[in-house]
Amino acid sequence: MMTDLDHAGTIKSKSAAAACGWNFVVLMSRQGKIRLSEFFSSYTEVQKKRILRDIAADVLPRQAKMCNIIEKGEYKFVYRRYASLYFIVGAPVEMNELIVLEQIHLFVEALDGYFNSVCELDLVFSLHKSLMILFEMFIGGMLCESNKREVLQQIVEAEQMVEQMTKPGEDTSSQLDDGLSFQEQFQLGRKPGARGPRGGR
Amino acid sequence: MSTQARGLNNFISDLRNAKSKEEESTRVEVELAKIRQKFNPGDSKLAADGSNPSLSSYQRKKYVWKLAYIHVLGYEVDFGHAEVLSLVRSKKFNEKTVGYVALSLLLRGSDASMGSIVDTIKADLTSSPDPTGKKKKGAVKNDAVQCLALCSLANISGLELIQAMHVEVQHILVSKTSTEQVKKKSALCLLRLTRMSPDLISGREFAPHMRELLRDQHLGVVTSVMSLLIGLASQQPMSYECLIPNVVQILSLLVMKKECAREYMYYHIPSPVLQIKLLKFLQLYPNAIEGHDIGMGGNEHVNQVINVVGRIIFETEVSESINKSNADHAILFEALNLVVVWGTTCPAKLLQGAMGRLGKFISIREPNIRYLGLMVMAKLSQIEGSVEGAKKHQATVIVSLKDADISVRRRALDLLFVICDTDNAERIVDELVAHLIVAEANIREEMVLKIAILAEKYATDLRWYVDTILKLISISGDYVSDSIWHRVVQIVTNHPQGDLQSYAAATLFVAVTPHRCHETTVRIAAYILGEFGFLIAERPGMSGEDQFRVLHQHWFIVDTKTRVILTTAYAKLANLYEECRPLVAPVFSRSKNSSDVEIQQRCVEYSTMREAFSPESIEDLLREMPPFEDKRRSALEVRLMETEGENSAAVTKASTPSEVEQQRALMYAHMVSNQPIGEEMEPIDEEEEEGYMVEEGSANNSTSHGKTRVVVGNKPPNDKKVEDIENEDPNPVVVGIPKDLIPAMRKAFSNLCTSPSGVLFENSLLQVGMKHEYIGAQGRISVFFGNLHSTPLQNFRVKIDQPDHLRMQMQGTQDLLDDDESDSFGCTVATKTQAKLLILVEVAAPFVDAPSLRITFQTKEGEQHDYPLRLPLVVTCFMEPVNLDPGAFIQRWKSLEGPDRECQEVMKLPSSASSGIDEGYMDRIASVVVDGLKFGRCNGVDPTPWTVSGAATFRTGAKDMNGHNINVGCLLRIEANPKANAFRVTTRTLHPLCSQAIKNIVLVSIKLAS
Repeated sequence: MMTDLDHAGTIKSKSAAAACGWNFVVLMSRQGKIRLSEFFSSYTEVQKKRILRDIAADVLPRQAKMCNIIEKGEYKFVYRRYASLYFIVGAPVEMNELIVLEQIHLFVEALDGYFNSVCELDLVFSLHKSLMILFEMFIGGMLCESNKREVLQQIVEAEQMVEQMTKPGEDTSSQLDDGLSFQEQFQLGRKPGARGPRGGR
Repeated sequence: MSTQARGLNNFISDLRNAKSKEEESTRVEVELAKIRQKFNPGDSKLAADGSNPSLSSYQRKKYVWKLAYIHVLGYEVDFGHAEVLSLVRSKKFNEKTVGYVALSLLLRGSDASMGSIVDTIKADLTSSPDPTGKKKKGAVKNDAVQCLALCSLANISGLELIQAMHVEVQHILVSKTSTEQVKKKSALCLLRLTRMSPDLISGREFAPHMRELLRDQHLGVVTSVMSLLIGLASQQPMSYECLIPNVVQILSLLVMKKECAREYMYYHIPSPVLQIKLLKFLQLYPNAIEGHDIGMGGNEHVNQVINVVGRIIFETEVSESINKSNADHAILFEALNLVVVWGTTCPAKLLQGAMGRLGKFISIREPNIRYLGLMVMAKLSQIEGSVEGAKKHQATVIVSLKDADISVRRRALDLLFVICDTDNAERIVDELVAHLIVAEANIREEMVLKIAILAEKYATDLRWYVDTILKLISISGDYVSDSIWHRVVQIVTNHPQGDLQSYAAATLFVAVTPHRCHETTVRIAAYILGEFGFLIAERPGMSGEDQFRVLHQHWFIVDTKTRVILTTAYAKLANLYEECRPLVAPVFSRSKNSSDVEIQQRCVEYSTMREAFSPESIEDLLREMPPFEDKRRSALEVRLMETEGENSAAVTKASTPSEVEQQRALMYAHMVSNQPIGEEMEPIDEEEEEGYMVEEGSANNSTSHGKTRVVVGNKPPNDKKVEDIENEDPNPVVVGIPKDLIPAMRKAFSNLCTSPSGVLFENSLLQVGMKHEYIGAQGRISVFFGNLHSTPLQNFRVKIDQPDHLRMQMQGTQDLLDDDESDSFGCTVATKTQAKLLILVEVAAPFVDAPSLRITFQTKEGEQHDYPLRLPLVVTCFMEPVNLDPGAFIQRWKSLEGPDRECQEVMKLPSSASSGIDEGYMDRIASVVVDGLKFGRCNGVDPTPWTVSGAATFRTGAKDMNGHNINVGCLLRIEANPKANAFRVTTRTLHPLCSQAIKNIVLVSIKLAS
């Protein structure tokens, strides 16, 4: 249990309904590798390590027919599995669990729209893109926009601005993706949301 | 594997190829060292901000991305702040983007370097959008920069930053020129800031802005603004209450009209995210719909919101598609939560609908819905009158208790705990105990604790409670905490009634007989046998010697804590049984040198006690412990609160005393005050009208009498009256109450029992009038004694007996009161004047007889008068009406069956006395029950005019062991049989005296109403 959260401490004492954002989100592979992690509330390094360990211990071994919620005292894990990747959200106790599940799904749909059928490899090599989509959708852990077209529109516009800034002849994409060299696959500026949502619960 | 990483891509590939966690972290360490070296090579000069100016933009971005990457994989990154900040400061959008993302990830608000970036963030926040609105090629779109800054600020939000920025953030939120993107983000950013540091915003000033923002056309903006509104309103609910109609309006459009922009439809559901936020906001106002059924419906939004919630609960159609189903159920559960918050103010139809819906949820296979169904049902069950609905699903819940999923099992356990009451406690507790055998370690402690609480709370027979705890110990002894077994000892000690103590002693004797048993069993057995072993010492095979043997076989395998308890038990045994002394003595002498100080001390003291003290002192020292006086919260509740948090359903449940507990507390209160309960009452004797009201002369022997004299029609033996008066007063000329006055007095008394003021007694000399009013367990009674005679009344004295069950404070005209101490001869009441007496009273326990009021005085003519009266202070004075719906009434009625709880009497009206029973008569009875006896009428269970049913709570000022006031729930049913010209009155309460007293008063009132 998180007993001495420094900043989160003030959050947990607030009234039930006040908490409507995620405390953290972690993407973890079935093998326990972290693909992405972002802690919106302030946790110490020790607490973060503890949470990551708990996720590996509590979430990964669960069977498909079990529910997607695990109570952890001050917060709860709400998770969803897509193929071999788990999306685990730390949500305040008062938060509506089912809507967290759908918020995860919205995030996945946005990723899917951007990467055109996202796979784990996309996330591994284009982590910065995932992060930008995450920050575009969630401000301080709270869902900002549930319309994924608008989210992708913003991302694409930002990319276009970078593109426009570059001098002729320069590698356009490299301005954002310096040295990341996976960019050929990104097909910048293509129509977002081309593909529908994918399965998984 | 390449050790020379070229670009982030290679680095990522390296990490992917890492065979083990160690290999991965080694690779990360190498990379971190390299980046650190790049950022601060040592030879070149660093810029003023601490960054390395020799790095190219490309390099800086690359290395910062690498740091972000490493961070996101869960490694600690504690350097590079200067480079991140220099990217944020950059004028180039591409560098800024990287800078802000890294800022969000790598820095905290508390970092020292944050101070230097405040101005940059502020400038970015306020960069005004291009007024022409045209996108110029090459120009940075300003709202993009604003958005970056807002997002970062929300993610890092340190106190210092908040102080510096909140004004700007508020400003851009309400600014007309802000774009929708900026509004959305600034709303959420502001929410983050206010959560860190409440009181930034004055609700009264800001509410109108919020109202304006809620009118925004862009649903994304409305959604974000709702998040902010929930945050603000949960800090200052009053300030934002005025926005309820607006919120209801938006919700209504979404739910009833399905008006929603197409891009916000989620699987054909109008913006579920927004719907949930709207419902969450409404949950902040539990009293929002209060009074909807009594004409408050004038507020249109009240009816509107009830309709909307009804529509969601009754008409949401559940589909198979997982995403649609989740979103639909998310809204449903939020609506159900709102119903829970509204509680009893909610229309019954909604409450029932909610329970019905939940009943379906907990029986389906989809685990999330079942889990949430169990959780919300536990909350709903706590609303008065709803638990019955939940109890119907008991069997279904028990199935979930055996689910493979720990989350579901926990919820099922919680729900069972909440719906458990006297009716089903044995079944539920047995079921839980059975499940405990197969339960895994991680839920056992919680189960043991809850079983112990339930068994204590709802044991109609405390022997069952003792058995249950012993079972817990044998199944799962390691999880039975000290507080649980301490509680057993406490309860056994405090309940000397019945055979609980001998039962506990015998049971523990048996439990501790096998050579292998749990140490906790040994501890309880040692304590209980030490205290109550003597109760079973006569039984075959359980003599003092046997008790010592079964206990002592464990001596060598138990720890010192247990030995300490054993030592005391031995001392007590040795004290009682001669034959135990030679067995105990060697144990003490061996342990005099024990390395444990406590054992050493006890053994030394116990063995030298005999020489040091007189036999009487030893008796005193080793006597049984007195009853525990525990007014604190039970240790078990404290434990539960630690594990579940103060507001959990289970804690509320555990801290509310059950009916059985209240009854036990009453018994305890009686035990302490040494008042025998359950005295027999003499039946009402219809024939003996005369003796009514005239009590035996002496006032002080009424309650201390073994037999309680009942006011109603209970004639005391005449000879005794004379005798008492003669004993007390040497003056032979005593005038009592003339017989012809008695019927009128009887009527006056009965009348006053059910009306707040009136005349209690009147003859040619004296008029006694009174007024009385009550709040809960307390009353205020004024009595006036008026002289109607032509000469003063001398030596006027009033004596009121003060039984234990009534605490009285009295104040009156000087010398009026006869308090046995002063030797005054009373006061003089001049002609046409009054003496006054004020009595403040608090009731401590149910009682049958009204306290006596004895008036003595002398006339000028020398006539001695002595009027033994009674104050019309009866148990119904302390009633508070309870309005039950028919289902609840019948359920409670059934639960109070039994000879100790029910009191019934059939009264046949004398054929001459009235014109028979008609509806008018029944109406009068009903109004007396409601207005006079202060019962809540339960119309629903009276289908014909020939019955009257009601419920009330008898309030006392006595406290139970946990410091709660003791109250007794009372139910009443009057049935008329017009043909036979008879009434049957039945009362049911937890307390025999209470049942009797109410019955008597009701009978009198019925007669009076004729």
